[in-house]
Amino acid sequence: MVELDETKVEEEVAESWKLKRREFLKALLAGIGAGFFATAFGSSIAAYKYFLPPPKYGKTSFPNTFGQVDRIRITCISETSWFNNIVLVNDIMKAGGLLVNQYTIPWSTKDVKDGWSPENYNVGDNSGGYSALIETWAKNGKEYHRFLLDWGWNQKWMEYIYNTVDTPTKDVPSDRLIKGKIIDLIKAPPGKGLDFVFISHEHFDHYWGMDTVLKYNPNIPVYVPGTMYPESFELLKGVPRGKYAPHAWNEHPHTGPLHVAKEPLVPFKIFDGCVGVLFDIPIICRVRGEEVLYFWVKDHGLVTVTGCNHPGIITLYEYGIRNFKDVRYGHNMYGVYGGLHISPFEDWDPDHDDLVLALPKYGLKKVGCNHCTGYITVEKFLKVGIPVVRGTARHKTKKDLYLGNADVIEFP
Amino acid sequence: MSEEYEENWLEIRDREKLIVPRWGQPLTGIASLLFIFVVSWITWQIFFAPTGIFRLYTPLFGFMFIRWILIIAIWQAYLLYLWPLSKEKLETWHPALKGTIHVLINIFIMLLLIYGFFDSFLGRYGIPYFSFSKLTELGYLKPPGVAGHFEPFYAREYVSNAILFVAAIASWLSPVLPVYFEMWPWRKLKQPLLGFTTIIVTFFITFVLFFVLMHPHFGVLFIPWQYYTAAVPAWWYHIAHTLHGDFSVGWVMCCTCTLWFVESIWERQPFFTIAKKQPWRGLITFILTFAMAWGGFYLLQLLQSLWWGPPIEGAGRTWAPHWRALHAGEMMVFFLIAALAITFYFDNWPHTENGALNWLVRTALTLLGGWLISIIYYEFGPIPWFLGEVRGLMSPYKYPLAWSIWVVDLMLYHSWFFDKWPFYKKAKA
Repeated sequence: MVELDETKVEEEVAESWKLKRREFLKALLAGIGAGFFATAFGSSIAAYKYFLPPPKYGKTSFPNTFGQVDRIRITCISETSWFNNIVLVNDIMKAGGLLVNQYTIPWSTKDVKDGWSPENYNVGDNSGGYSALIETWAKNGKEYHRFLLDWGWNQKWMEYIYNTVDTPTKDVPSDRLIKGKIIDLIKAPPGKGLDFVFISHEHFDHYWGMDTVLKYNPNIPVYVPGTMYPESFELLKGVPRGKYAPHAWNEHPHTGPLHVAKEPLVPFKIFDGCVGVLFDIPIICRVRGEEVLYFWVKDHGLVTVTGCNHPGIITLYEYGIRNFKDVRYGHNMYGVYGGLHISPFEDWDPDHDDLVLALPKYGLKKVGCNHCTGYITVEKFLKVGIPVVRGTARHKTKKDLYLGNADVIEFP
Repeated sequence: MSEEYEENWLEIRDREKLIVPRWGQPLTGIASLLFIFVVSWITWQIFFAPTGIFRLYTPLFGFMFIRWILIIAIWQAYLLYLWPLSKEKLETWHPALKGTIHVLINIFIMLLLIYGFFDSFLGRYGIPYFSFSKLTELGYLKPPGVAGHFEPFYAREYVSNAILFVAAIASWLSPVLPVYFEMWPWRKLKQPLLGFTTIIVTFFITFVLFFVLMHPHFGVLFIPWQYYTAAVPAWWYHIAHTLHGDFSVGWVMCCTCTLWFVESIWERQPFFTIAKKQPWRGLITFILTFAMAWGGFYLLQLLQSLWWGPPIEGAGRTWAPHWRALHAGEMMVFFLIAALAITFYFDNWPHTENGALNWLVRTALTLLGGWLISIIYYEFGPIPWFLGEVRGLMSPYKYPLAWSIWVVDLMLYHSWFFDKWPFYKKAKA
């Protein structure tokens, strides 16, 4: 126990402030009160709406219109990036969690229930892949583009699914018409098959399956985000099996043109009616940046096409509002295709409900989502009236709640 | 006002300058601070980094431990006055020995609390989102007909989130009694009775606030939504524009950091000048600092809005309303590191005769220091051998608070448990 005359000590400290208590209290209350209300008002919705400068969503405003296409057709080649959620998440957990480098994770490749192997449709490798075929028509059918969005993960699965999904033929110009399977488009010579491959981001399930395409078509032009890690650029040049994680190999170096998106948030035109935008963001499994596609469909407006949409669908549409001509809530916001990265492992978070509650006001007319969107999300979307296009649940897609492998969506 | 009571040895140590800088200032301060950053880097690499040995930063699993280490350190130093070591031992034993004992107690209590109280008791027999094993058993979510039941990784992450949400509130409330209320009305109790009484009181209030501020987050997290008896849907939605509990975390962190500014760089002034007697002194300080903290919370969000534009309901990344609120708290903790550094390692420089001037200079240094530390974190964190994080401000899976609170943990260990040894030494009698 100690005896201490605290009063004396405190009076000395108070004296050093050179203030009388009552005056000081008044001043302090006034200061803190004024500060509180000023900052509260400053961050209120009213202040945002009427007094604060408009938000910045890009370093530059794209010159309003970027051309238009008449029509888009998207064939989901494979949205089943992995076959068993629990196994995939356990692989990540065992490696040390969501921030571990994807190239060092020992992904399960054998004896996985619900997995796939060439010998067994229901047991095998857990790796699948994400890939889509995109076709556009413009100028009353005179201008036709056809390209791949992402090239998947497990090389054997990608080979299988490219050999399984039919090539769409309806309305394809005769000089580009190829009847058969997607693999025939990949094998076709320049000018006949695919125009290019657009890589959304470097995640294993979107990027590592390149060997399957490059072995048939090493010269194909490729678009990649400039934010990718060195291992991902190395992979394009060729990496032997076993150097990195399972399926992170490529025995056929890319020898064609490489378009690297370097400046975030600045749209780059790919062709009339189609631009790419790079969002420089951190993503799980030590991945950085995703580039997305914006299309302008004649008489309908914006369609976003994404691999995983890590920036978020609302972020993409808000970007559209601020950078493209005549886009506003419920107006010229037409459609969506791709993974929306909301509940990829059927996990949840209250901010996903924020999205579900806010999305209807954007007035989307056609939502073709799949992959990392998650079935839980789609169930919630349907409850609030989001027009999700259903699929057919084929080729290992588990449910028909959303577009699955070999399903097709058209805008309009 | 003269009364008999047991005093915290740390207060005696600092008031009577029982330890002094070994090489004078600012050299000792700079060396101490460098030491803390080096130790934080090494320990981060061993225990938390995604490239390290234990890889606990998954992220929420490791973050949970970091959070509770902080709370228990506060309990040990501020509520238990470093009991079970007596004042004689605290004064005479070597700092390395005292520190090791306290760190071991700290880790033991932390593990006991997480695995004994939360995981094995409260979670198993009360609220499953506090138990890794129970949540995995039950299936962390069960939407009709949807695959994904019994998934252990997210079960563990959700539970870690819940346990660290409790810690967020405890970090604010635990020091309120000793700092604002000077242990009123239990001040005359002896240790360890005083410590245990105040721990129980703050733990109780922590849980009451948890159910109001955080439980609705979990009511929304699990499917289907809890609309009626299990949890109120997040009541803050219309003021925060998000259902996420990060809104509460953001302002609670602002309150916590403001409290430590009061205790460290502001030396409880000017608040203790206003009222002389408890509980008025504590109440007035609590209310004023609460308003200041909310002012800071709003101000930091306003600055973000000026930089990135206003938040957008439902949007992701830097435009997400819940992240803006959380980021206000994250920035506050960067300022807290600077404030603690000034107090612990630079002996609360400056010490002019003008108290208001001292207050302003230290505050300005805190703001500057916090800003610099945030730059270190965001600019150098992505270097593979440093923190190995992915460059960028906002990721749903990246928690700057984990690293910054780990630095705070180590500063508390070093200052409270190890008497800042070897950078400080015993003063000559």
